Amino acid sequence: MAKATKVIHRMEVSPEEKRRRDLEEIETRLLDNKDAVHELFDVLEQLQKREILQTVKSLFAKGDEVMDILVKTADSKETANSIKNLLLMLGTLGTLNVQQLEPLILKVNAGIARVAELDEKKEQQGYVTLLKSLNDPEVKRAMAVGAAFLKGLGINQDEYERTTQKPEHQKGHTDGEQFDDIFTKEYHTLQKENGTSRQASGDSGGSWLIPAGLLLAAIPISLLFKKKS
Amino acid sequence: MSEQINVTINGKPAVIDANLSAMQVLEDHQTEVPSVCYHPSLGAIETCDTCIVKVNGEFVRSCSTKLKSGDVIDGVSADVKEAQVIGMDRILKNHELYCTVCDYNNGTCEVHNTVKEMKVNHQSMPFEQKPYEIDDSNPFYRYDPDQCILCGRCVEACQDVQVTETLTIDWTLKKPRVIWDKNSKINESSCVSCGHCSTVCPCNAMMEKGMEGEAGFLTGIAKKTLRPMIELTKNVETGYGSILAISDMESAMREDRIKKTKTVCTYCGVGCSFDIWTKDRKILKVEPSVDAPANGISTCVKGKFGWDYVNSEERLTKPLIREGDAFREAEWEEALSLITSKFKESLEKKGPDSMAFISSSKCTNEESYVMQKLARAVIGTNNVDNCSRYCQTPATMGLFRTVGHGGDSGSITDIAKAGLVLIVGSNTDESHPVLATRVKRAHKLHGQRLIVSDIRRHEMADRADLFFQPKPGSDLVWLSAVTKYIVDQGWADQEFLNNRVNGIDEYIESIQKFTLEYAEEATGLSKDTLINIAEEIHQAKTTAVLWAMGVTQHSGGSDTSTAISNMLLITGNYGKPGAGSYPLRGHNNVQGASDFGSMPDRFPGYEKVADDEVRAKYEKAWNTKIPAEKGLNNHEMIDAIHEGKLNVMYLKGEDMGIVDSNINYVHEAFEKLDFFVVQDIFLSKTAEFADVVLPASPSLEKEGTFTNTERRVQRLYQALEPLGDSRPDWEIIQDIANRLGADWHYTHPSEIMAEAASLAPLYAGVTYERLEGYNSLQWPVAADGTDSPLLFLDEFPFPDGKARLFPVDWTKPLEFEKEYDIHVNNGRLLEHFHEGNMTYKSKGISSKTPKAFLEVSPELAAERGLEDGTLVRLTSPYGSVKVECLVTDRVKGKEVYLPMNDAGEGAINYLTSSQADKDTDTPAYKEISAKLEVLKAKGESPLPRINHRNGDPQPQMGVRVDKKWARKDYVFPGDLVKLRKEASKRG
Ligand code: SF4
Ligand code: SF4
Ligand code: SF4
Ligand code: FES
Repeated sequence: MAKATKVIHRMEVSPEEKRRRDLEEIETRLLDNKDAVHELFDVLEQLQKREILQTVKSLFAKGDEVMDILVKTADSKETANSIKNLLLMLGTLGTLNVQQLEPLILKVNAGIARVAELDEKKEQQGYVTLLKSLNDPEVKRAMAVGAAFLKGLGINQDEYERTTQKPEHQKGHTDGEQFDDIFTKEYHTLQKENGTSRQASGDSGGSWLIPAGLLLAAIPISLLFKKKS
Repeated sequence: MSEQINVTINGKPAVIDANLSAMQVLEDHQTEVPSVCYHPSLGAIETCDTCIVKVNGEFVRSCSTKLKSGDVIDGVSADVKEAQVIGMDRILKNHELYCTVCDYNNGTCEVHNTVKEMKVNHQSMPFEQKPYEIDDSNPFYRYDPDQCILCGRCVEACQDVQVTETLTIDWTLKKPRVIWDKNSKINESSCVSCGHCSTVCPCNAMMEKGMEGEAGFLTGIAKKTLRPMIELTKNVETGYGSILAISDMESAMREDRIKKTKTVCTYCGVGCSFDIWTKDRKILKVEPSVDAPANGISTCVKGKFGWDYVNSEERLTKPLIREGDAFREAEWEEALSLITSKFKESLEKKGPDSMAFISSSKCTNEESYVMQKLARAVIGTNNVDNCSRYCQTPATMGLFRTVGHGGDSGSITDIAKAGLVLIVGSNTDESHPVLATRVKRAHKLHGQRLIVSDIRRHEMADRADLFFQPKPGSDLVWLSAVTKYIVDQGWADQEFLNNRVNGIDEYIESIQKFTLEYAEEATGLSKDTLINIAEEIHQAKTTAVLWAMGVTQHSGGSDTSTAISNMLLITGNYGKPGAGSYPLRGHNNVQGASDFGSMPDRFPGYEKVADDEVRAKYEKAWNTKIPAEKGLNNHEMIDAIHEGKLNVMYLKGEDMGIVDSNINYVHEAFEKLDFFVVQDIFLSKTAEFADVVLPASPSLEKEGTFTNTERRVQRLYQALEPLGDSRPDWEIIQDIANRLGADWHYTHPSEIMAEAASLAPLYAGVTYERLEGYNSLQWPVAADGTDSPLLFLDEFPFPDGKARLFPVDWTKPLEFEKEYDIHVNNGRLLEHFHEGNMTYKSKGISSKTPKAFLEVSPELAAERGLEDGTLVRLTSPYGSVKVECLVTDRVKGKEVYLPMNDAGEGAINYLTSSQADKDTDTPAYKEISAKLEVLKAKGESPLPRINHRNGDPQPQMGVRVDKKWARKDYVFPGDLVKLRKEASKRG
C-alpha cells in the first residue's frame, strides 16, 4: 500500500563534506588546466604591477554610479568636442601604432572580463574561485575575441564619412510645416517652382579610433555593473 | 519546368523563369536590392520603398513587380540608388541607430544591415522620436514605437499568417504606429502572445522580453545611464560607418556567449522547430526560421514563450525513494540497485507478465524504442503501452482498417492547399494552434471552404462557412448519411473506386440505413444541413478532414474514424495533394511513441508481435525470446492490478494519475502495486504514488527525435546540461537494462535510431545525418532516404495495393440517469498544456490564465443563477469536481466545457468513467454527464481581464499600405527622383 505523498526529505550534505568535494573538484580542474593557470598568473602579475587591479577594485565598489558619472560627464558638449578634436589630431598625426598596444589591451580586457564574471557568482569567493574559473574555455575564447576586436580597429573605413547632420542643418524640419516629410515637401516645391538647385551637404570625418576605444573599454566595465542594475 | 522568358537585366540579355519578381531576378543575377519590408514568408508588403528599381524606364517596387517577356530591368543606375536612399532615409527618421547598446544587434538586424549595404552616407532627415511610450504590459514581448520603422511585417503576420487579427498600423495618426485592437494596451488586447510579430520584426521595435538587457555586452546597464550613453556614442561618432563597425565587432563577440540550438517544441503534435537562444541556463528567446519544415516562422505562445518549466524550482534533481509516507532523496546508485533487486524479485517469483511498462508521448522516439526493448527483450513481456491510448489509437485503428497507414495522409501544406477543410470534433485553434493558422490563412486569403462540426462554438467554428452542432457522440451518423447521399446522387468518384478500392458493394449496402431522416433524428441536424455538407464536399476540388478527441474519445471512436476514412474513399479524396485524413496528434510525440513500438501488440513500425516472421527478426537481433501473445494495454493494466495479477510498474513521463479517465479507480490501483517506478521531470500526481521516482531531463537537455502529426521525424539538439542529477530517459533505461543483465552500449541516441531503422521497414532510411539541422523525413522512409510527404500516391499498403471500405455501425453514447442532466465536454486551452504541470510554471501564462474554469451557456446561467465566478460542484456517478464558472456563448444549452488543464480539484477525470472505445480501449472522455450544484453564488471571474478572450480583434487584409500611400505627406520616391531630374535639366 503506497499512499500518495508530496513530502520529500532533502539530502543534507554536511559542510565538511561539501568542502571536501569542492576542493577535490578544484584540484582536478587545476591539474587539467595547468598551462592556463600559469598564464592567468602571468596576467594577474601584470595587472598587479600596473595597479590595474586596484582600479578595478574601486570600480567594483562603486558600480553603477561610476558608470553613470563617467558617461554623463562624457556626454557634455565640451567633452564631445574635445574628443572630436582629439580625433582630428590623431587623424593628422596618424602615427599611432595599434599593434604595439595590442598585448596590453588584450590582457586588460580578458582579465577584467574574468574578474567581472567572478563577482557575479556571489557564493564562491577568493582565490579558489579564481582558480576554478580557469578551467573555463571562455578564458581562451575571451583572448581570441579580444584579438579579433583589436584587429577590427585596423579595418579600412575610407568609405565611411559623417552621415548625421550637424544640428544647424537639422532645424526647420520639425513640426508646424505642411509636410512632415521633407521629400514630399521637396516634391511639391519642385512641382511649383521648377528648377531650384539642390546640393547635398556632408563633411568628411576622420578616424573613429577614440569612440571605438571608449566603447571597447566600456564593454568590460559594463560587465561589472550589469548584475547590479 | 516553368515557362522561360527573355528580359534585359542591367543592360545584358537574360533568360529567366516566368512569374518571378524583379527583386528575385536581380538577386539571382548578382545585383543586391535592399528590401527592408520584404520577408519570404510574408511576401511583398510594399511599405518600405527601399527596393525601388526601374522596369522599362519606370520606377517600381521590385518586390511586387512580376516580370514579363521583353522587360528591361535596371537595378544599378544612379537614379535607382537615389530612389532607394529616399526610402531608407525615411526609415532612419523612424529608427535610432544605437546598435552597440541594442539587444537586437546580433547580426540579423535588417535595418543595420541595409544601412551598411547601401553605404548610407548622408541622412536628409534626422531621427525623430514619436510621442508614444514603450508598451511593455505584455509578459512576453514589448513594443517601442520610437524604433518602429512602420514596415508592417508584424501586422501582416498577425493579420494574415497567425490570423488573430489584433494588429494594425493606424495610418491616420500624425505619427503612425502599430496599435493593438482599437488602441488598447498590449496586455489588454486580443493578442494571444504567439510571438509572430516579434519573430518577423526586422529590428528591435517588437522584441522578446527575454532578450532585454541580456543579449548585448552593454545592453544591461541601467536605463538612466543608457540614454546618455546613446547620446554620447552618437555625438562622438563620425558617421553611421563607425557605429556599424563598432557594433559589428560587439555583435561578433555576442556570438561567443549566446548559444543557438535547434530544437523541436515539446508541447503539441504540430511539431514546430526553431532555434532556442540560451546564455548559460537563461533562455533569451525562441527564434523560428523560414527553414522549419512544419511551422516556418510560426509558433504559438507555448512554443515561443512557455519554457520556464525547464528552470523551475520544482524540477526533480535527485532520485527519490519512498520511506513510509514520504520520499527521501537518494543517489542514483541506491535507487538503481533497489529497482534492479525489486524487478528481479518479481521476475523470479511471479514471472515477466507481473510487470508492465508505460512509455510517454513526451519522450523521444529513441526513448520509446528502448522502453519497449527493455520490456520485450530484457524482461520478456509485451506489457508495454503509451499514452496515445488516451486519445489517438481509435484514429489509427480507423485508418489501419481502411487505408493501411495510421498517420496523416499528407503534410500541413496539404491542409493549407485543400479546397475544403472539414473539421470534426477538434478545437484546432487551441489544440493545434500553428496548424490552425494555415487553415485560417487559406480561408481568409485563398478562398478555402471551411466546415466545422462540433458541439462547442470555438474559433474555427466562428470562422467556418458552415458550422453545425450535432448531438454529442452522433458524428458517425451524419458522416454515413452524407456519404450515402453522395452515393445516391451519383457523386462518388467511380474511377477511383474502381481502380483503387475494395469492398464497395458491401459497404454501400451497410450505409443504407443512414437515410437523411434517420440522421436528422439521431444527430439533431436538419436535412438541409446534411445536403449542404454533401454538396460542399462534392463541389470542392479536394477535401481534407481534420479530427481529434471529439471523435476518438467516444465508445465508438474507432468506428467514427473509420466512417471519416470511408467517406474520403468514396469521394476519391486520398492520394492527391490537398486531400486526405488528418487525425491531429495531441502531444509532441504521440505519433512517435506508437511508431517506435510502445504498444502491447506491435513492434516498432507497427509490425505485429503475433507475426512469427517479424518476431523471429527481433529475436535474432536482440538475441532473446519474445512472447507471441500481445500484452496488456494501459486500461487492462489497471484492471490487472486490481485483480492482483500485475504487481510492478515502470512508467516514464506520463501523468497517468491525472490523464487517465476515472482517476479514483486508477489511484486505487497505484496504491495496490508492490513496486512502482515513475520517471518524470516533476513530482507529478502519478509520481506521488511511486516507490522510486527518477529525475528525467526534458527535451532541451538531451538529443533525440520527435515525430509530429505529419509523420515527420525531426531532430532535437541539446541546449542545456541536465539540471542537477537528472538524466535523459534513454540513459536511465539503458542503466536499468544493463543491471538486469542486458549488454547495451548506446553512447548516443543516433545509435538507437540506427538499430530501429535496421529493424523497422517504416524507417529503413532514417539516419541522423539525413536529419541534420532543419532537415526532416516523413515516414515511410525507403532505405535510400526517399520519404513520403504525401501517402497513397500509387497504392495503399495492402497486399493488392487497394484500400478497403470498412462497414461500421453506430454505438450510442453512454446514457446517464436523469439526474445527471449536464453534458460535460472537455478539451484544451491554447495557453496551457494538459494538466498544466509545464505551462503553469510560466509566470506570464499563469498571469493571463491562472486556472481552469467551467464554460456555461447563457441559458444555463439564467436557469441556475450562475455568473462569472460562481463556484459550482459537478458530480458524476464516478466522482466530482469543484470549479468556477465563466458564462459564454461558446457553449449552448446544458452542455458545459471544462478545460483539462487542472491537476487539482478541477481535474476533469474525477468525473469520467472507465467506459472506453469498444475497439481500442481509449477512454470515452467525452461521454460524461453530471449534475451541477452551486456552492458559492458570487466570486471573481476566473478569467482575468487581461486574458486575450476579452479582447476585440480588428480584422483587415494585411497592413493596408494603400492608406499610407494616400497620406498627404507621402510621395513615391520614384516620382521625386523623376521630378528632380526634370528640374535639373531645366535649371
Ligand atoms: S497575436 Fe499578439 S503576439 Fe501574435 S502576432 Fe498578433 S500581436 Fe503578435
Ligand atoms: S514593430 Fe512592426 S511595423 Fe514596427 S518595425 Fe517591427 S515589424 Fe515593422
Ligand atoms: S505547442 Fe504546438 S503549435 Fe505551439 S509551438 Fe509547440 S508544436 Fe507549435
Ligand atoms: S521590399 Fe519592396 S517595398 Fe519594401
